[in-house]
Amino acid sequence: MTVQEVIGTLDAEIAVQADLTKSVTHGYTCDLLSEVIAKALPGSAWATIQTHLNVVAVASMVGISVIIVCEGRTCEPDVIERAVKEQISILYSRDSAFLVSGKLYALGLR
Amino acid sequence: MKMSEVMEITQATCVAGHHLEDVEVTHAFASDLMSDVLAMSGPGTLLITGLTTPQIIRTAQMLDLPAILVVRGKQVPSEVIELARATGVIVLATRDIMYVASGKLYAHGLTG
Amino acid sequence: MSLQQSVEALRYLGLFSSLDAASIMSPAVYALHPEDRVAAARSLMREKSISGVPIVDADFRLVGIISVSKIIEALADGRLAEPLESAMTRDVVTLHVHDSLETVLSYFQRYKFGRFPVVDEDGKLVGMITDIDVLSAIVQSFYSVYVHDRQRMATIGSFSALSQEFDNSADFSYDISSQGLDHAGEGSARLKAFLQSKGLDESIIRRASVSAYEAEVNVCIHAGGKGSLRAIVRDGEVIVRVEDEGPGIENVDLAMKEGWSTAPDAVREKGFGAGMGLPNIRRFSDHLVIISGKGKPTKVEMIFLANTKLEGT
Repeated sequence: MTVQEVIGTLDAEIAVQADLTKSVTHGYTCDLLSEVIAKALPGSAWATIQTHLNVVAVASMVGISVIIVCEGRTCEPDVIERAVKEQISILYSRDSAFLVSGKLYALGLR
Repeated sequence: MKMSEVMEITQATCVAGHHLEDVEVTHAFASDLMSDVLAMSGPGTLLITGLTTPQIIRTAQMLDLPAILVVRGKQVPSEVIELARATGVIVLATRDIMYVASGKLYAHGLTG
Repeated sequence: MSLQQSVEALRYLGLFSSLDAASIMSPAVYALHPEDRVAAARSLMREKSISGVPIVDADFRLVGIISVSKIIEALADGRLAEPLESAMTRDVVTLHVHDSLETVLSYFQRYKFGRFPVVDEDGKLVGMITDIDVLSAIVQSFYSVYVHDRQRMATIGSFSALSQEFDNSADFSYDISSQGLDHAGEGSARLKAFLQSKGLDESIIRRASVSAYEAEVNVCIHAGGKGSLRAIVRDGEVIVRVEDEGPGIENVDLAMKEGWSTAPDAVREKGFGAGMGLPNIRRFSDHLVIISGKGKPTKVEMIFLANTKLEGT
């Protein structure tokens, strides 16, 4: 699955467009950054409601393919700027993290 | 969905609560931030979380949530189990990560 | 309305009760010693665009003040090279660090000076207060008051920031005493049971207990876990007041912003401190007043009206 396919599946809005052909191999849902650092696999689509600057730093450290910000939340400009710099796509979804997880899981993304 | 089904689908164990056949949920909400849960959830919702602090029980209590599914194989501390028993909140624990538990339950018909 | 009446009105509203001379003054002060020459005062005033310089001894105790008019006199008499001791005013009108805003205002009215030195218990100079300092302190303190009110904004004429009922008694009262998050929520759980015992509607009980819980968590995270949670039930309406002993919210407007938080990472990892507490309280309450300030106690008062439906649910 690619970032582009994730966008189509979730009907999400693109907040930061990095490489949309990037491969997405796993899903991970979590709001605790230390857990994400410890447990999330590289190549994951990460669903969260956290929007602070550390999210991008953590995603970059782990090698997250795309960040999905749930519940219609949006990021501050400094977060967007950082993600552009780090070349990590950020999507905005109106769905809850539960729904985002459910929809991606249904497509076979583990 | 009955709590006994939630257990079966996520291969969870029950760490607090009983009569799982009698308790049903229609919605689920997955979050590690209790303020998010407090803002977004209503009665009859299953809370899926990776936290194991007493605050998950308090949050469920304030919102009248019947049950919590603790994910990521977290051990639930005994004082949290005690608080759950005292307040009548069901606590299940699964080894699934939040993403997978949500995925399975969504596939079986729970909505957001 | 006279200045005196206005000050009394402010005191009644509780808006500026936290302002004292120490919080109003400019702490960075230029001072000279009695043995310095008058010329030094003149150049300091010119350089820093100030109209008066306090004179202190070696221990920084205030011994006099020199104003522009005294410099002009000295200039006319050709005494610029003389020590300040000979030209300064010794009989200085000072404010004390603990003087209230009312006292500060009354000094400006009574003495017609442009500035007052502020001294501590030992008579040491700690700051100066000009009219600009008073004005900016008042403007800044507005940042520390947040009022959210759907029903009463229209009748702001009869508006009172905080309910007076709590001065006498409360129907429910709980002392918060829990540093950290482990026991946060016990008070709110008891409040919920209390509200249930009153036979109130489920929705108002949930809104009041969730909001009380967020406020209680705030006390445990930010205020050393010391505070009180009180409630009054009146005609199906619930008023909840949560108070702590500080250190206060520096900018309440910022704190009301979703996602803005000063909580340490350790708290975030426990599922709180994501900057949603006060926004949640605003979401669930019909009327919200927050009075706080840097280094001050925080008072959060929420009113829940019967029959208000939650937004979005």
